[in-house]
Amino acid sequence: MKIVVGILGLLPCAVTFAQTYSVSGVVTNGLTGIPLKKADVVLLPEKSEKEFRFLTGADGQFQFQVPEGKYGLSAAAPGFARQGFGGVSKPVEIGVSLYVRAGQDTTHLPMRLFPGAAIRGKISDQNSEPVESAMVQLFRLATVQGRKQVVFAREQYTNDLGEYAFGNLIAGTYYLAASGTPWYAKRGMPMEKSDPDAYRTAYYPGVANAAAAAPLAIAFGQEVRADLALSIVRGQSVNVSCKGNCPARLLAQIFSEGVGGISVYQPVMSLYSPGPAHFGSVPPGHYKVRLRLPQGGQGYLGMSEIDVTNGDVNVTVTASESSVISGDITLEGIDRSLLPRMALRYHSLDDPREWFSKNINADGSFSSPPLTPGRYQIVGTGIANAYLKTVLVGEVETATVAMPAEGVKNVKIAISGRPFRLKGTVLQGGKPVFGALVSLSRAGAGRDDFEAFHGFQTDSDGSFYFDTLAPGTYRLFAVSDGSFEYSNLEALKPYLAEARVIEAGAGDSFTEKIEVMSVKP
Amino acid sequence: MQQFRLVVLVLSLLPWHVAAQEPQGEIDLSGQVVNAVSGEPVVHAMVQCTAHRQINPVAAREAKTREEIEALFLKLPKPVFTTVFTDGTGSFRCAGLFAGNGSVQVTKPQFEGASENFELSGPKEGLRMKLLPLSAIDGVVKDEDGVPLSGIQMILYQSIVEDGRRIARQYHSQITDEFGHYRFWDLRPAKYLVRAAGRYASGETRAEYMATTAAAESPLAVYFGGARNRGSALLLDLHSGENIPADFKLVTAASHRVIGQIAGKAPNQPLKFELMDEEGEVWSTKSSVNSVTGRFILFDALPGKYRLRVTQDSSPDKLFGSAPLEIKGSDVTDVRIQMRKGVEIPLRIQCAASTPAPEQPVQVVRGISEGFRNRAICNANVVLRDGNGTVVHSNGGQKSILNVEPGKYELSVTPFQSKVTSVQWQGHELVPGTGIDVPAEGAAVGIEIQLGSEEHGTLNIRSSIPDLQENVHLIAIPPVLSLTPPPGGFLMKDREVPMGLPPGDYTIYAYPMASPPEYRNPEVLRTLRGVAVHVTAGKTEQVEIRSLCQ
Repeated sequence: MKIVVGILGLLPCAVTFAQTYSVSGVVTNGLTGIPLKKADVVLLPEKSEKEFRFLTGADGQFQFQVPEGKYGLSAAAPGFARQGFGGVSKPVEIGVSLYVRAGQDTTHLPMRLFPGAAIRGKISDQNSEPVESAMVQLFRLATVQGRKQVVFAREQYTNDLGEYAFGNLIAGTYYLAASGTPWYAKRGMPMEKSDPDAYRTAYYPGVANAAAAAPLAIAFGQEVRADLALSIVRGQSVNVSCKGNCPARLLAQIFSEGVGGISVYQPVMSLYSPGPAHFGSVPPGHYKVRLRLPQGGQGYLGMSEIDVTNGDVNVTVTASESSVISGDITLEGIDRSLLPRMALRYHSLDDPREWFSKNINADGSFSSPPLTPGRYQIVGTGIANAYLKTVLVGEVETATVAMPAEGVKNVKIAISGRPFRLKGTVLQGGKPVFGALVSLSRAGAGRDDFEAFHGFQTDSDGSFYFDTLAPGTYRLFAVSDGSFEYSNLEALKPYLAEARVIEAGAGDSFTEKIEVMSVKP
Repeated sequence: MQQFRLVVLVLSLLPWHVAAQEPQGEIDLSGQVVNAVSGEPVVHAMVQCTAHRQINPVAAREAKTREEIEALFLKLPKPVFTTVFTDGTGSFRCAGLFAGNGSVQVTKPQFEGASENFELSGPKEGLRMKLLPLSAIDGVVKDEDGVPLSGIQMILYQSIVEDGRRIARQYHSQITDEFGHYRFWDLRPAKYLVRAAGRYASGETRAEYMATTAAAESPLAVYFGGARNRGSALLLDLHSGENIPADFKLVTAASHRVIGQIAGKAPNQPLKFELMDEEGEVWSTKSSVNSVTGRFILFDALPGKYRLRVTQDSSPDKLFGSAPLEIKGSDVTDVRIQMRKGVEIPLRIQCAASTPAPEQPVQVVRGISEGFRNRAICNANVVLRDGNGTVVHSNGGQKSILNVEPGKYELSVTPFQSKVTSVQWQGHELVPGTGIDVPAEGAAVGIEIQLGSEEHGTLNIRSSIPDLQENVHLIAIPPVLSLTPPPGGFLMKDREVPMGLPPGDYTIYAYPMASPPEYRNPEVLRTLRGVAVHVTAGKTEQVEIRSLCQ
């Protein structure tokens, strides 16, 4: 035995045996607690594509032996969409991370999968006959970027039986809208009619006014039926043409303001330049008409507003791909070779349906995809240990960029590689809390200054970190509710007085331990 | 002047109604719309009635200028269009029509539209419009344990006969929803195949690490009925108005990832990944590509030997790339694919001296190109078919075939009133049954075609088939099939049809357009009824067709 030890002692230091740790647990149905067989459990290291996989048996148990590190743990099982560990009511990408290291108990992990919810139904017409190709749009009340809002969830066109079905939904509150065109209006009916029949957009439970739409609250595993009848109104033809810099094929969208201010579309039409794209029967109302490039929905080309009242509406939209935000990036303390890995994301503050991202060029220049005019928040992505220091439009520093139809050029963005870094642990009764929401907000921030509000859902060891923070005075606290509105000033207000104040300069690093606050009224 | 003459000729072919009086707009047209299969009334069908007049062809012939013809049109009464809907009994009434040419067009979702033209001289009642109900195929796709499978690409093929062989043409494709459900609708009666081709999704990312969405197990692609390949797949014979349920229970197997690098792709254009197995079947796959680096991952790939085919429909050229691939029991890494433009295949067509070049003007007589009808021109339509018999490239009358994906093809050559005496590929003579293999680096020599100027003989073909329906086609099959598709024509009810053919023996077959015969299948060919003829150069033979071939 001594000889063996002696030989091992002669091996070069590089040949070492990596310490591994056990990651194990049981995959269960989150509603019934019954173990799930054939669950596909994936453990994905934070910075690698070399995943670890385990297929559960009848007992639902899984076990990995992996090196130290930070992992994403997820599972999917027959009848259960992939969900992240600790996600509870969230899709996989929001699942919190699992730390595997000495002193961290990563055995007996409860991996609970929740069966998806479903909304299905039938869209019918005034004769109770099915409406084919009706556009059914589903919206969800969600906390996005720390603020509760109605967001677009999915859309679907009905089949020949007028049926639609949304499955694998997460539990929550939804709104449903259906729009369409009578089949006979699509097949030449307007030939001799000046005011063709149109379907008025219907919101669940069957109202025409978005403000009167009722929420559909669904729980995991629940299936809700939501049939809608489209009523006939006297509509008008809307002919959309394109002038200016029109590509050969583009998309024409007609939309109005729906639940929570989100856009609700009429069925989208292809437009072959110069058009017109003929919307045979649009119900009365105020609409925006937008032209877009067909691929991927990105690429705004032009917009106009119309009122559909009496008589056909002919609208010509001037297309221009100049409706972009463009400019240059200045780097402070960051290697320029990292520029192509960085991207800027453009969030519309006017329509939550609108957000796009695009890479920064290697020379430091950038330009957004063509954007719908409005107010935008620019957010840096793919940039670890850096923060957007300033956004200058001309000489004016701004939190939001207001973009007119012609676009905004000469935007100067400074990205600093000397952020203020904050890490720490959330405790409750002295024990780390997994999945708590850490709120960090800069003092004096305005409502639309999204860059000033930060949230983090704690990892398996109760830890949190922020590494893209601008220097300033911040308030830090944690709550147990993972969906807390950390960007909503009203929601923050009751907690700020007891929050920890942190004064941070460029390059500062802090480590904090904070206790979960009790819920404030 | 030529155009003007053509207008006159076209007008002379139109039926003419001599209006006895000026239109009164007081004629009613009524009838009923019924389901052609069940005979039940079709309610809420849209009926569009029209009444119009046509100009007097004698006056049109006498017109000397374009203005005089336009004046004749201007004298016509404005056509009347009336749209009504059928009531609860399927009945309709169009009022306010005038004497002249009338037509009724009926449409209704889930039915094939129907129309009828007639002379309208007074009230017309009892018009019975039959609508053929369309059909559907739908079902649920589940795994061995009965759990619905979402995201499975379902491909619908229509089984058709093209150039004498039965092929399956991709007709529609759909992804199963979260409930494993799919549905193809508005289908015409025909034979169909349905294939569950595997999981499908595509995406682009800029992330350095592409998060996994792979499944440990994936379903094996299969045709409805359980067959793995198209040749032995179950044909669904869909009749009018039928809704055929076609559920699938898929067997799953351990699946792996394929990781690699794409070079030479066009920026910001979607890429399509296909795994082609050794039998030429496409296996759907989930893919993710880093749009900056070209790194890609295919998820859910099953063990087997494949050719990974990548295509990009970038403007102006389509780009192709491929690599052989064998997936055994683990992930496949470091697959490298170079995207390239398609290959140009030059065509050299040589003809006898008497045959005019295609650039030479072709005279139009009685609305028909004389060159095509009576005289040879020095050109040919060259078609490339893939292994499934589907036409994928053609020259379209040009001197080369552009943007051809490297690979194996079958080739056919259709000359214009001349005979193909030789076809060479890269300097080697091609015989029927052999294909061409287009290399990635291009075809320097290409295809050389020799056309002969043999004098044709003519068959005057008439029908004695009782109650001959419209759209009956003719085809003249020689004893030995060549690279040239057999010539064809139409069979007319009350008229003799001339067909020009190179000298030799033929068998003439007549068939309804909707069901062409599989004449390249010897077993089927033996069962076909035809008329044997011999064609002699410069001579005209009479042929009588007494029955359809099958």
